[in-house]
Amino acid sequence: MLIKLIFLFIIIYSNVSFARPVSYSEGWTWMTKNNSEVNSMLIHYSPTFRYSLGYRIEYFKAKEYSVHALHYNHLIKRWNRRHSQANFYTKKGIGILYTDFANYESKKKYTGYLGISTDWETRRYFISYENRYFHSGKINNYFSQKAQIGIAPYIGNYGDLHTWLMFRTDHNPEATNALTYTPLLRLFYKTHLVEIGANNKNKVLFNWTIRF
Amino acid sequence: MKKINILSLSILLFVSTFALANEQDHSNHNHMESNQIEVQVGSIDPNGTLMTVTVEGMVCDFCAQAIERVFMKREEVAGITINLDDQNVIISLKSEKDIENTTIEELFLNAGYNVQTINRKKL
Repeated sequence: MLIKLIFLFIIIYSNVSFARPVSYSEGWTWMTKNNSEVNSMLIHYSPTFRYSLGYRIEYFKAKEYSVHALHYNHLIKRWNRRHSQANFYTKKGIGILYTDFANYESKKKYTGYLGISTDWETRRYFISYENRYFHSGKINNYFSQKAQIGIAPYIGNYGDLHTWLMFRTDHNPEATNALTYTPLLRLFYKTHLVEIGANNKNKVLFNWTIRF
Repeated sequence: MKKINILSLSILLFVSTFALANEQDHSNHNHMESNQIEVQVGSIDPNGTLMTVTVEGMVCDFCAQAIERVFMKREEVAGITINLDDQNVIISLKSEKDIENTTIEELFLNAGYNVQTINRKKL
């Protein structure tokens, strides 16, 4: 029963999208995200700071399908400066999509996705952009992108609680309202990073990352 | 109703953040008054060497965690302090132990960061 509850919790509070898609060398990362459109979870391992390999589960609420994928993040380039860091990543995955939506009862399809992600960060400011093309044959193909900016109201040192005020814009050309705006609060303490927000469609966003 | 909810959440975020900010500033101030050569992890070897490494790209706690993990695995290292304010890492080496500059640079590079300067001080 306990295992079922833990599994349910993971599924409900799941999704991906954070700064630093690759952890430090030999580090594990567990990421979750939950918003109005999708729940997902990713667990990945980084053999080096250059790439990570993991398992990703996503559940798309509107079209009632889930995706189980082998997920790969690759840091193509990092720019280190004295007071800033910028990164350019590719993200890709292959897996299987299961759906009961409309005429697709008990269907399963091979699926794949790829995208790029870039960010620039100082201890005060944060900017990121990410996109993704998702392909699953006749069931669903889409392109989405998002941008996020943030400012830290105070500068904490190593081990302190770090707080960020952020604003995120999601663009999903397929949706009726293609643009979603989400002001959110990011809290970062030791190995935990949590994001909480509410968008202009009155839906809550909850992201949680743990590194170990 | 939606606008009221978003407005309420925004106000809550700002108020809680600035409350935290004040508390944080206070704790940082106390920290600065304490002994600045205390290490955050491990200890200082009184007969060893203190190495100060200035680093590029070290902007968050995840960066600091990466560096801490790399160096605390080394048998030459007694303790470490990561100072995000000054963008430097202070490494306490055990007595009779040393790590060559090229190795230091390589360790930082493999963790994802660039070394600017390395200074040593024998205790």
